[in-house]
Amino acid sequence: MQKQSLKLLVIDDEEGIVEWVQKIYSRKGFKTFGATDGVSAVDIFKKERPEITLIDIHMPYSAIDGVETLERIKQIEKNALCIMVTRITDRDKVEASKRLGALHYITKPLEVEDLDRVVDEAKDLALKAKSKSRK
Amino acid sequence: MAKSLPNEAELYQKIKDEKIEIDSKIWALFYEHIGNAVTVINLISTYFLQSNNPLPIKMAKKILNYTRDINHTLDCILYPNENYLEDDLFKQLRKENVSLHPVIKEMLTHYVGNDVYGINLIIGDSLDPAAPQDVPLEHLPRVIEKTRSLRQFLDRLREATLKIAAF
Repeated sequence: MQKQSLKLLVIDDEEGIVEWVQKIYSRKGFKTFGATDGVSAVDIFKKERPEITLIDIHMPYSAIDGVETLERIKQIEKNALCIMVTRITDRDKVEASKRLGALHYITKPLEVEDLDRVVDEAKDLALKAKSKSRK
Repeated sequence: MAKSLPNEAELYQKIKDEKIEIDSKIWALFYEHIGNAVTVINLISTYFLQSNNPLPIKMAKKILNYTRDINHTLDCILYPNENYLEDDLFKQLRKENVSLHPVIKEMLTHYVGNDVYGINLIIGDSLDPAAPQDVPLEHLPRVIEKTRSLRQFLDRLREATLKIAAF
């Protein structure tokens, strides 16, 4: 993988998921950030402006859920590349996320292979956007 | 993958014919507790496999804690009167006396139970209390395969019992 200092923000109310997704993608060359609730995630987003954000839709212990987190992030950066982590019973929330411009949806339980596929695609888009903005 | 039940086709047919459903609150519990635990087990195992390193004892114990959580959640869902889970959804299920169809219980017990038992055996093999050792690298694909199997079972069951389109 070409070394790029792309930033990845992981938002999930399960600490273990945040910790290990960060570890896996740090090793792949990303600068990673993590949050276990929507409000602190939005603060991190404002400060760090990550190119890719992974958002768990269902966060029962967070003051704002994944959809509202996405909405706030899109208000800050409309081109933010956001991947939603969903479950089948979140159908309405998935539809709302689509309308808000989420890039992809993957379902729990997660597998690293599936995650790699969508993160790689987002990475390509982020690198293209970066090179365009340099021209 | 957990070995298929001899009457698996018959059970899925029964779900279809009798339009057996699973309450959305039970699905929410599956995803919140079992789904998250399976995800973390997959992430930890993949991390060490990709690093080409054996799984350290400390991480192996962490995985066993997650399998314990899965078993506890499953017990609470299967036998709601005998167990307890600190979760509003679970309290609501008890209050509303929501139960699972025996066919679903049989499948959950077999598939989730066996895959989790498989993970415990693979990991536990290295954690002899007298002489615990790191879990060898070559055992990690088997753990990952068990997490994949759990996911495939939940996906199949979800597809068979939910009346909404998949994304």
